[in-house]
Amino acid sequence: MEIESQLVRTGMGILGKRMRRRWGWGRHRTQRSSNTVEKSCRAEISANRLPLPHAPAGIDLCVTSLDANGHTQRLRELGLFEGQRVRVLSAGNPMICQVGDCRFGLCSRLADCILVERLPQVSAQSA
Amino acid sequence: MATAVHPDRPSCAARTFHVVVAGNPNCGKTTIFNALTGLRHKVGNYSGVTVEKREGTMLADAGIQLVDLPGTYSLAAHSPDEAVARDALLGQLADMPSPDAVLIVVDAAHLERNLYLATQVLELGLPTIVACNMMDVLERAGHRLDLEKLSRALGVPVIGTVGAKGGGIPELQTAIVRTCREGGMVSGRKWRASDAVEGEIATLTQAITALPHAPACAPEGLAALHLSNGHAPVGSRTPAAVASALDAARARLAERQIDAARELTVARYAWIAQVVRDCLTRAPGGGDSRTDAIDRILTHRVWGLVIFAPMMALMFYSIFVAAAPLMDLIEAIFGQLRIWVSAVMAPGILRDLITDGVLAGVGNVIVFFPQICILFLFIAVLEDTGYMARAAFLMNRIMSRVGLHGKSFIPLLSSHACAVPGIMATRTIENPRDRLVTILVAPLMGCSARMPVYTLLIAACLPGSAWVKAVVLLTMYGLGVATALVMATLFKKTLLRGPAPAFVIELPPYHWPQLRNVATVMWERSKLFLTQAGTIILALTIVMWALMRFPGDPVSAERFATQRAAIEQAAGPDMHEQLLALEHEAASAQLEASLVGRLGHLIEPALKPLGYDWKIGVAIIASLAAREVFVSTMGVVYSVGEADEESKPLRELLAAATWPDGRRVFTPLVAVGLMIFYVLACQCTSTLAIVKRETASWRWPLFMFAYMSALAYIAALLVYQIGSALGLGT
Repeated sequence: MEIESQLVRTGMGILGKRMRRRWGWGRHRTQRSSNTVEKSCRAEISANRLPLPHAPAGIDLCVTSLDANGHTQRLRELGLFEGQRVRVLSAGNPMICQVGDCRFGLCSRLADCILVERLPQVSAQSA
Repeated sequence: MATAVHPDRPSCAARTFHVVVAGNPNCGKTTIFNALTGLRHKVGNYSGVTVEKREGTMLADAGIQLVDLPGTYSLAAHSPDEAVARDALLGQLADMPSPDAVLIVVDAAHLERNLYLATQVLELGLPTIVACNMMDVLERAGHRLDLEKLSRALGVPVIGTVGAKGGGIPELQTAIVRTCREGGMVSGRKWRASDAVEGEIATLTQAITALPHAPACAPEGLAALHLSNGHAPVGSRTPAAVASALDAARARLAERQIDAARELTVARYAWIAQVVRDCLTRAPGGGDSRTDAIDRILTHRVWGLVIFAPMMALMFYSIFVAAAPLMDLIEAIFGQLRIWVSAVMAPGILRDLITDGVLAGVGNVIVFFPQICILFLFIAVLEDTGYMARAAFLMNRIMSRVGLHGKSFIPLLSSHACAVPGIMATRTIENPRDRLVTILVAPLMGCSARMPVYTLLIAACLPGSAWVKAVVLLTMYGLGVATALVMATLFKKTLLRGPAPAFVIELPPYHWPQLRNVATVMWERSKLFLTQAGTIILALTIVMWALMRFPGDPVSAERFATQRAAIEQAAGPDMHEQLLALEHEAASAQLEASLVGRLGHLIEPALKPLGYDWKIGVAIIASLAAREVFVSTMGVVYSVGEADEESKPLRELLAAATWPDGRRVFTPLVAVGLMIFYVLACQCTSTLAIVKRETASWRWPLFMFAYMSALAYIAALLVYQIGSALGLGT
């Protein structure tokens, strides 16, 4: 249990560091106009790709790319294609994630090959 | 819209129509198939349980033959079962005609993923009906699905069903009959990829159309399918002309850095998402909160195992304890039967063949039947509830350490009851290498046939309290598991070298097990054990009987006959006991003179370093057929006649047995060494036979026998030699 929460924490930590970096960068831009800040932040989020195991649990994510050698096409066909919405339900190895309507158990060797980005919460709801 | 009435349909009413049932794993396909055919077939929740080809005649129309294809996620097959499903749909199976129509079963609660395969099949251009199953699950969640809209979008009839309760089955029957008898709807590709990819699809379509023997399915659908597959063409019999056209198309696309497989998959899913958006009205909130809540506990790193362990313990408890009275009953019945036959028939070879060969053989098989039934009952319940996938998920953490897949766990666990059903259960493992490693180590698990050997040796040869004996017994089981894990690691690193398997498994929603499904699955698999393993075991028992009966020793047989006559003539008060003792002695002499007995003497020099005499050698050779035969053979060798592991006289004789120089044979050290020998040795011909069947060659069963025997010999040698040097157990 401890290991698990630690994993989640490290995942959060990595993301947190990235976010801090991003926000620092964002603050720098705030000086120009608040509207552009929000836009540029969103653009930064979409540029902010991370492997699926590093993504925090319970947050809507979007697959941006995957390259798992011989397994790529298999994963795509199971529903983990580029553009699909996924959500980590429980971290660890193997991890559980919600892929569209289905849920899958996925080992980290495969999950590491899947890059995701955070979906902005607003647009996630409207989709 | 490519919707049209299928053109080339013969009007002959007498012909048989072949309809294949295709669908994703866990979509309830087999339940629908059972409802349509009235045949009871297995259905489970664990991905990929439907392995074998199932055929049935439709209840509503005897002229329509249904085949239940293995569940598959896509026509780009990744495992042997999926390849069967694909080849059947493409009309490339040797023993099956091209289908006249296809019934696609989709799970309404997982529409998007299920429609992926459905669209692939629709694009093959065969008359198709779609059964939208599990409508009740969808409605319970508050969603609404417009089937008419879906039907318009797909271009074929869509019928809502609730397979588990028989809902929508009459409508589905009508639709299938109409499709076969009057002509059905044919769909086509409804979505488009980029111009570059579409151009290549057109080129490939031309290459397929130009073939002298046009394939049964639509060329354009086939072309898109070929291009969306990663490397190879789709299907096991792609003509060379098409294969080379495909390679050329791939090369051109690669030059322009276009990933056709990716583009086609994404485009297909995009079209599906559009269709689902149009037809499905989702209730707010959504999600399966019940499954979420259960999964939070059952797949938890700690709590998951805390629950898993007692469940497995319960399974073992039932296998060993609950089955015991039934097993005793079966043994008693066969014992009585043998006594009755010996009383009725005249003495001679034929009587011996029936009592010691056939009846003993049949008894050996049927006595395990209660255990096998309980094992399969548990597996069926686990599959039907959806827990099986979670078990594989939980165990993957442990199994991946030895380079195995989470799915290897259940076969290895089943092997604790009997390796034969365990090996049969490895079919769900996709990677052939991982499957082979699992098969190779499965017989090391302590199966129930070893129990009588352990019980006899522990009771007869080991001093000490019941606790010591229990610990020894547990150690034997632990040793089996440990050796299996070590050997699996070794095989994965040497002979069957490969990366740790990629683990991806669908976790289907939980639901209550359906009694009928569970009973059907249990019965079908148990029957499979009886017919497939049982016949082999029976045949081998008869062969072993012959080896232990012939050539015999006429001189001593004559001597025994005169002795018997003398006793009968004297007719003393203890005549019956004397006769019985003489008979046991005669049996013992006959065994010593048989092929097996001679072999026992022959291999005695090899067994001496292990501390065994020729009598143990005879028992080891005889128990090549099945481990538990060790006990009954010891009974014959030590002239106590019929004996089981509870037999007092046999225990006493074993404890008192000595070498010619007066040393005890069965010292505790020898007993432990012998038990370890039985942990490791492949003393089971039915296992070898089933491995031959599953791997389709003699290479692997022979290899298995060789490595396990070598392991057993070396381990027993080390135990005895090191133990003796240390002065232990004398």
